Amino acid sequence: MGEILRGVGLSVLTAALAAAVLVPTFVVVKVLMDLGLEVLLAAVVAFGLLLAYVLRRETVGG
Amino acid sequence: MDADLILVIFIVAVALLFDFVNGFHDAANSVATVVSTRVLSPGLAVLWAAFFNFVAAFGLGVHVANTIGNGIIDTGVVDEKLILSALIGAIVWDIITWRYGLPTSSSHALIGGLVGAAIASGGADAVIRGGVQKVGAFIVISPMLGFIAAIFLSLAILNLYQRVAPSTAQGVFRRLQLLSAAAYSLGHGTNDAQKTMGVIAVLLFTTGHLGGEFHVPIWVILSAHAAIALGTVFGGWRIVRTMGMRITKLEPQDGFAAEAASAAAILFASQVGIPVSTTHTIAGGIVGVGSIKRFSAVRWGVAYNIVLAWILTIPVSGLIAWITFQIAKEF
Repeated sequence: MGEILRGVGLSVLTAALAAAVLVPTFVVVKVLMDLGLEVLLAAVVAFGLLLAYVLRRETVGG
Repeated sequence: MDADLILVIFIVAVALLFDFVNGFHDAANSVATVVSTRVLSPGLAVLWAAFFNFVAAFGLGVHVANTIGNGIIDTGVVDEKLILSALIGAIVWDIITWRYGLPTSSSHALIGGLVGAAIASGGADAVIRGGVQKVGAFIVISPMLGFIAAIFLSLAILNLYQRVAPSTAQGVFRRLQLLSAAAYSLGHGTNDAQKTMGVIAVLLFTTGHLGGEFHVPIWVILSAHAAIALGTVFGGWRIVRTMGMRITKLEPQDGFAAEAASAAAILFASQVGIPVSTTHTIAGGIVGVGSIKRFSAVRWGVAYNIVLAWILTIPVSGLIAWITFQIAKEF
């Protein structure tokens, strides 16, 4: 019983975490889009490439 | 019944067939991660996705349909032959890429078809540049958003589950993946079915069957969602394999993060009226979660082939539509 409740609690917590991560992310995307399509494109590509660079460096041999 | 009306009915049927093929070709992406992590059997997963593809008909708006209907090409050049040529260009390209197991975008094939047929009919001025630029920018933006959001979500999950036993975590994410797959299928249903709605609505509008104002009738909304859901039921296993298993190895928490992030990106695009490739977006999400574990775990060769197919989609479907229109106008 305790294990089931723990599983349900974790599921709810994870769903809330997903909302807490994704909603602000897309609020920022909307703000960038309102500034102009070029701004959004440049920001998303630059940030995506930066993340890829960091992950490539940090996960070597991982 | 006059010949013009019969032709319109025939083209509406072809548009719904395109939607069916879209479901067949693309919607398998909705279930790729759930199947590859063995949360659902392929048969159940496909029914799950199809249900949410259809449910998306209710309450998510028609912003993408409006963009397709009057934001990509000048409605002044639209007639039955143009729409038929655009659809043939998109369907032929979809079938070719399905045959070779390449997860290209049915959406960009349709936009390529519309642009190619419009150029054949009215020259370059028949294309609304702002609309095409927006779609073009989102060819890059949507997979990047899937990639970035999936990384954020994966990092947050890793943090939260640091002290949770792997067996408990597996159980939680197996359940949560049902939710994320449902959310992704809702996004897929609303964004992709609306592309067909837009094509049908602009055809009805320009042939005088829609009254004086452009809108999407409810029967068009319901039939487009039904067609894509049916396509999903009969969907393409070949592409499930490419997306779910060949890009990187997925665990249930990876599937959840990739799908939830992609669903958010697609639902966002749908609300701002931008037709995006659901295939591109989920691919970005899968690459994102793969990169978190180990950058080199992503099979970049497969990802490169997929990108190459994406680059070809709009020009080739446009060219097929252009040729089809040249033939059609002789009749």
